[in-house]
Parts: sequence; structure tokens; C-alpha cells
Amino acid sequence: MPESANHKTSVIALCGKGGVGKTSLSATIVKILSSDPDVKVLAIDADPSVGLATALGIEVTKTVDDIRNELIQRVASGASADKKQMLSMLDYEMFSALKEKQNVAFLAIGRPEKEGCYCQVNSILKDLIGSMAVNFDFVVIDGEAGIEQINRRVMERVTHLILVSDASRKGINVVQTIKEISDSAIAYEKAGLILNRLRSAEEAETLAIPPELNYLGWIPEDNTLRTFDIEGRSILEIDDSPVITAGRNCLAKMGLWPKTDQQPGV
Amino acid sequence: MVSEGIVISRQDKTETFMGLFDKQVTAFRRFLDDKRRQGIVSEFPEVNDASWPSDRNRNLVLSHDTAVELGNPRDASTSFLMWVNEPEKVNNRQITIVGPDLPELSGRQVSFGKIVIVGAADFDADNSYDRYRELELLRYDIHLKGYMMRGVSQQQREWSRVSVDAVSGGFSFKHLGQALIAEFSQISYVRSVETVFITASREAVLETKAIADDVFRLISAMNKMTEELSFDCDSCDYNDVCGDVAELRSMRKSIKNKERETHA
Repeated sequence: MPESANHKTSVIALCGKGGVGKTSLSATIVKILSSDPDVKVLAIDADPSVGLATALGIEVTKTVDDIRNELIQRVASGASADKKQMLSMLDYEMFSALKEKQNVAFLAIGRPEKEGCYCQVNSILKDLIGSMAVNFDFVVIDGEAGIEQINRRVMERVTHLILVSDASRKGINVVQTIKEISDSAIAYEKAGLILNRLRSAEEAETLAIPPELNYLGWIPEDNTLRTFDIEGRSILEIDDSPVITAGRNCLAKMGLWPKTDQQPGV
Repeated sequence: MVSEGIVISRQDKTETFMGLFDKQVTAFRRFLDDKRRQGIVSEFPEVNDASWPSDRNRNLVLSHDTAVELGNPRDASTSFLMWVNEPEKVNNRQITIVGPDLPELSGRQVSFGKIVIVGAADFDADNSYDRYRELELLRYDIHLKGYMMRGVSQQQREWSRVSVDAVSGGFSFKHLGQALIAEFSQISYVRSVETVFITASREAVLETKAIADDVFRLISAMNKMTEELSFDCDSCDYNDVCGDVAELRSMRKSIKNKERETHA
């Protein structure tokens, strides 16, 4: 492992229209990145339905939202704590909410925060997620469907924005809007488009992808993945498949695979 | 200055504030004596040769990198701090281990206790609360390479992991104890510090839990009177605690007096 002084964390967020396969692609990316045993990966499920947990074969027992609500209830019931005590307590709770599988750790966000309410708690949680993230080589965030995700605090530290679409014009339009909003809201380093669940390269060619979306490649529909999904098995168990190969190629175009000492990130 | 006979002179303050935690320290010493008789205590007096590199960043130890896990939320855990106003009553720079040290625990997840006893000068009704807060935060300000700690003072719990690399490199409680002692020794009013680590068994950790609970009640009473500035003792949850402990009553008098001076 590189020494901490040289270390950078790449924070990868996947965004796109609902139903395009962001969750299975997020799990695939976690699988690819964690295949190097010296790499630590933090998977963050920012979708309230916690689909990424299922795809990775992880059982969620506590979410960041649960932690926030417990604290708010405690404060409301009169329990006093200063900011430093609250910080250490939230840090403890956050770590206890972290699920681990080998070199992969997993954190579920739960329901989105209520903007404007309990801002001190939300602000501390954001800082804690940030300070937890820097301990990893890669953070992969599976965002919930829709562009409102871009405004979420958890997205503020994103270095790599992966736009995900299927072979539909509607999917491309959504990621185009996401990209436009992201350009003003997030100081990311790189963004790129992955077309998911395509049947052939020709499908991609017919879409006339705008160049500013930085097309990285396409992921084929894959029966192995479908079977794993139906059987509820973890994508981390897949040995190899066309999806994994295509995913590696896309990550390589963003400079995220294979991992090097000159890894981009923060 | 005299106001309705409740102002405490400097001399009175020192006299009445000799030992907020005297009862708890005595109970803890009895616990250690009992464990010594069982032959499960290792003591390292005046340790100063066990330094370990620090690492403030990227100090997360995942379970698959972990050699020893201490005080996991599923196990018993206790962590508390007590101070005495007579520094000679503390075995300065001593590290005591009740149970096996880290190298012997490799590959295990165990219940854990960490107790710090500080010998300090001039704790009194006016400065105790601020000093407590300063000392309390120091307990969590330890950043050693391959050692990850999460603590929650309100529950007197501490959960830590020691990495495979750290244990194979020789990391032990002597290193952790020395780092803690070094942190506390930097404080001007701290005259002596000792640390005790408990890994013997869940039962051994739970034995000290009663002492931790007593310590927490005293701290909670101190927090309440300092932060809430409420002097309605009849309705206070900690009325019985202050009833038992003269030092808390002195603090309360001092705070009340300051309030009166402010509003005079």
C-alpha cells in the first residue's frame, strides 16, 4: 500500500435514470476494484431501497439515517451532549453501521436527509462520511434515481462521476441534465458515460452521444449477472464475465483501473 | 469576600476537594488486588521505552486486517477516567494489564477495559469541570499506526482494533499505555498518570462496570449543574449523588455563588 502522505481517494458516483442498472453496475465496479487485495473499497448505498447491499450480499442492520434519527430523539428527550461528544458518539455509531467483507466496507445512507432541518447533525454526518472515506482507496456511491441526488451532501466530494444510461434517448437526456447540473454543483475531476445492458455495439452507435458526455464504453447484457440477481447471490462471488471485462475497460479509460501510485483523487 | 456564608476560601476548596473519585479509586484498587491474587496481572512500572509511530490519516483497520479486536459492541467494554488530588497516590507512568497482552491475543475478539488514573494538583470547585473536559477528550486523542479506536464517552465504551501488521511488528499495551501517559503528562496540572488495560474476560470487564457507572453518575451530576445552571435540587435526578459527595456540593455552591455575583 502507498504511504498515507501519497495516498489519494477516488470517490466514484454513479448517476442516471431509474432502471438503467446503476446498482448492478456499482456492484460490478466494487467487484473489479476490490479484486486487488491491497486496495480498500468503501461502497456507499445512497439509494433508500438499499439495492446495492443486496447486490453485494450484505445485510443492512443500521443506516446513517437511523443514526441521525436516534441522535435527534436523544437530544429531544433531554440528553445533553456537546459537539465533541456528539462527534465521537456519531463516529462510533457510524463505524458500527459499517459492514465489512474482506477489503470491502459498506455503508447505507437510508432516507435522504431533510435539508434545512437538524443541520448540525447533518453537517457532522457529512464530515464523518468524508473522514471515513479518506481511509479507503476507492469510494463507490450508488446514487438514487433522479437528478436531485446531485444536491445531496454525500456527493460533494465526488472525484469521478459515472453517468449511466441504457440504450434509450430518454436515458441519454437524463444524464445530459445530470452532467449540466453537476458541472456547477460538484468539483469533480472526470466524468464519463457508460451505456449499460446493451445487446450490441450498434445500439450505442445509433444513439448519437453528445461528445461532452465523454463516452467510456458499453456493458453487455449478461446472463450470469441476471442469474446472480435472481438467486440473490453477491456479485462479489462472480469469477469473471463479459460485464466484468467491459467494466474494467471503462474504468481504465477514466484512469481508475488498474490502480497505480498516481491514482487520481482527493 | 463573604456572601451568605457560601463562598469557599482557596484553602477550604482544596481541603474539601481532596477526592471526587476517592471511593471509586479505592474500589478499583481492590479489584486490582483481587486480580493480583489470581495471578493474572502484569505490571510495568515507569515505562518510557515503548514508543510507536503515529498515524493521523488512513488509520482505519478493517476486520480482515485485524489481529485483535477489543470491546466490539457485541462484547463488554468499559473505559473511564478518574483523578485524585494527591499525585503520590498514582503509580506514575505505570502500565498494568489484567489478562493477556496483545501478542497473546492475536486472532481474537475480546471484552476490554481501559482505565486511566490521573494524579493532579489543585483540583477545586471552580476548575474541576473544565479540567475534566480537557482530560476526557485526551483519552480519545490517540493516533498510532495500526491502532484504530472508536469511543463513546456517554456510554463509557471503547472499541478498538489492532492490525496484523502492528501486532507482528511488536505493538503491545506498553506502546498504547505510553502514548496515553505521554498525552496526559503534557497537561500542566497533571503530576502523575497510570493506565490499566483489562482483557482477562467479559466477567472481569463487567466487574469494573459498577465503578464506571459510579464515575459516570458523578460526571453526569457535574455536567448537569454546570451546563444547566439549575439549582432546584429537589427535582434533580442527581440529588442523591450530590448528597453523597461533598465535592459536588462544593461545586454547586461555587457555581451558585458566581451566578449571584453576576446578577448582583
